[in-house]
Amino acid sequence: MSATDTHSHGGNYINCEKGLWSWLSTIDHKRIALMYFVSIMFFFLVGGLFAVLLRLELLTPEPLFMTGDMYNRAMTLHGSIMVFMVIVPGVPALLGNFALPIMIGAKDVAFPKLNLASWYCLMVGAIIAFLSLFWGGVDTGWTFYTPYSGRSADAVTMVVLGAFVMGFSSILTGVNFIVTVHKLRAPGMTMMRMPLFVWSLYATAIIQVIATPVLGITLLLLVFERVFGIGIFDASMGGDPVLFQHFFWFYSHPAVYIMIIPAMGIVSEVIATFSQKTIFGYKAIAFSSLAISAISFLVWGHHMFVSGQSALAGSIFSVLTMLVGVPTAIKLFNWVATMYRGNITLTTPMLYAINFLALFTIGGVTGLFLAAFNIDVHLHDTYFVVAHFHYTMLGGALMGFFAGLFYWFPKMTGRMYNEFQGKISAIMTFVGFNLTFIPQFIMGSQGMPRRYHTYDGIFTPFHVTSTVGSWIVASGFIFAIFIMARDMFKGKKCEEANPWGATTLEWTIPSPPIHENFKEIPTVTGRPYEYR
Amino acid sequence: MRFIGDILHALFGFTLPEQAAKNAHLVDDLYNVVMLLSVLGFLGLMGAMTFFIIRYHKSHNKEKSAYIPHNALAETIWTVIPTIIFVGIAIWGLFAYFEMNTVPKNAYKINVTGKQWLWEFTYTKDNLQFDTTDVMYVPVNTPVVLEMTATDVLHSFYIPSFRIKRDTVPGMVTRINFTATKKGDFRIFCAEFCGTSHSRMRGIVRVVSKERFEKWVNREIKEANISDPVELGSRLFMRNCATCHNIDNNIKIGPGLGGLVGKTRSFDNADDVVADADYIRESILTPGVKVVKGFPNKMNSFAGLLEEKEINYLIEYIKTLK
Repeated sequence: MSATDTHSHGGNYINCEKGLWSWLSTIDHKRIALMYFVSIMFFFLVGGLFAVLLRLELLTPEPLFMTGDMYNRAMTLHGSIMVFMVIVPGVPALLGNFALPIMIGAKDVAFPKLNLASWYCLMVGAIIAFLSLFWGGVDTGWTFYTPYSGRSADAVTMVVLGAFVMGFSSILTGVNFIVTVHKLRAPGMTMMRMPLFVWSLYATAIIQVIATPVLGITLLLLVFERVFGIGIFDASMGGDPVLFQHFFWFYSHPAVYIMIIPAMGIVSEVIATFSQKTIFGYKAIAFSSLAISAISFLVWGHHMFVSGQSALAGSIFSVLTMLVGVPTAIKLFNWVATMYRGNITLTTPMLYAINFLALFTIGGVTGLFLAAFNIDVHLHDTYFVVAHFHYTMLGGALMGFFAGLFYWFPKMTGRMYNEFQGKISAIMTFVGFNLTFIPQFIMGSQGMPRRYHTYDGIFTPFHVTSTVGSWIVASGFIFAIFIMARDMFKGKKCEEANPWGATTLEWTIPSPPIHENFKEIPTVTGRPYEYR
Repeated sequence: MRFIGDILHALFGFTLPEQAAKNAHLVDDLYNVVMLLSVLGFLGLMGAMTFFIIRYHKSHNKEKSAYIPHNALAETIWTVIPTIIFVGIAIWGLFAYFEMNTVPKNAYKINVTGKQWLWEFTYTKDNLQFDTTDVMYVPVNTPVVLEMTATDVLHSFYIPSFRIKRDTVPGMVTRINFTATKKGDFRIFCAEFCGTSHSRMRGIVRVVSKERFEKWVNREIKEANISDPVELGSRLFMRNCATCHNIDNNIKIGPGLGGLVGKTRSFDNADDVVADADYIRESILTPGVKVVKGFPNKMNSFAGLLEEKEINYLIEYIKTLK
């Protein structure tokens, strides 16, 4: 290994070693982040392709070009790819991997080899899941509800095993981040001096480590039932179908916070930087992340208000779910308050962060409808829910993700993206997104159930509008990815270490950074966001 | 209160389906209140953000940015007020839920079974039962309780206009109740994904007057519980045989069957036979063995199409023909 040699020759992390093998065997957190970049963008485009196909099929009430089974498989693939391969690993494994060690003044994560192993887990899991296509595909939805998933095509076993393997990727990243934050902070970098993005990754890592094993165990039980005929979830074999839902949501509800909390961290960085102002309520934002991850373990039952769960359990889950809204609301108020009397510039990352604020607020308030026990009975499993979680996951998590991608782009690549085109992509995604999902709120309230291949003619105008919107939002994201892919190689060289005037440590080192980030470990003397 | 509720419904009610059950407004009232709070909250927050972006945009704002790391009063206000509002909504929702889910004592019971991909409704009266599929009749202004289960996978029984939904679970009975207040047809959807034709698993709830419901139940129960073999045979005859055979001696496509039993039949391809039960059975199952003189060998076998007991009912009926 010649890493340290080339380092002394003044190379950066990208060109210090050459060849495909140098990437596939790298243990540098920044190179691993770039490998995640390529793989996650690929998954995002595939998942997005399925989304566009689904919307196209729904242009007409009767089948347009898919059979019922094709539709159900496409829907399952869209959900599984976006959840397990894009949003869950997206921010932590890509941007977190790149930025976290530098932001706390470390040369790498605590366990660099585990970090590489987690990328391989994601790849192996993804390949297993994609192979299922050759076994006829899976049509259970990404939730794999029993007893349907116990009886459906054999490919279910493949996809479930794929998700199981991908779970290890998530656990390993989480363990790595927790240890890195506790053990590798630079001198003077106390916990209360950590950037908020680091706090959000820390809160996320706790959920990843605690909740993901539950998903793994649940999916294994499902495989045992399918392969060995052990009755766990299937009533005809003496099992309990509702038990699966409890297990599944005990992971998958905290998992939605795995998806959203890191994006919230990005938004904190971006808004402080482009308002050139100290973040409002640093402690409130940091601790609300921890509060959200703690409460997130106690609210899974709100997915099951109509499942036959007892009314008492439903009542408790309803109140607890409302409580998770409080720290979320606090964050929104803090971000807007940060803009007050700042010096605001509307760059591409800032526009994506504003998209996040607007769309995530809608995602949040529509969550109130679904947390209210009796309203949820009407809205459960309708398009209202579909629109709600797309506002939080696409409007929230992915808008935050793209804000972060553009924000750290000059640092990661040493080049600048085209600012004007970036802004156009942010506006396109915003317009297209609302056009796609606002009609879904209305038709959901009117009773249009989700996961329907064909539908009642009264819903046609809403579906048509939604489909047209999906073309715009898809074009916006494809344009954004195109800009990044092009400017990664052709963009103007970014000579400055700190083009945004940001205050966190990653902006003190050259773009792109050298192999082990810092020539000398820095000593931290103050809090971040000190714009004075 | 009702007045405020009506104003809110006029504002936001367009997003909701028609109310056709007594407790539907319990959902809509809270829905409209949450919608109002959401719209106000969203506009307030976005209004502030937009104002700050314009007012403090770098090109307009020549000052240095302010240093405001926190503000205890503001933070207390925006922690406490949302907490009160959110918990208030939750408690309102709970009370409304319990009011909607308390089953009145005299409620009329219908059993519902979800199957891939249809709804089956079982009505019971005086220990007699009958089933219907996909169309559920209910009397207007009468409390109804549904006792539901599923035979294969999960389904979810959903009537948007009544604001009710509950999963049907294999191996478990779930309950749901409503009092329909409007006559007419309303949509039933399956809301829990159940496979290939999930989106085709739709039904109709037909709300009719109590008198019409009573009549309908009596007719259906009679239809479903006939035990007289001759009557059952007559129905089978109308469905299976009447296209080709008359019940008197007039010729249709095949010979008439009036007074058949005891008559001597001549055939193209067999010896004469005095018609009896065995002959009728043979004619139903293997018609080509004895083709009545003067008729073409056209009849298809009913083997596999009729059950043994159905053949017996037919024989009993044909015996009665004069």
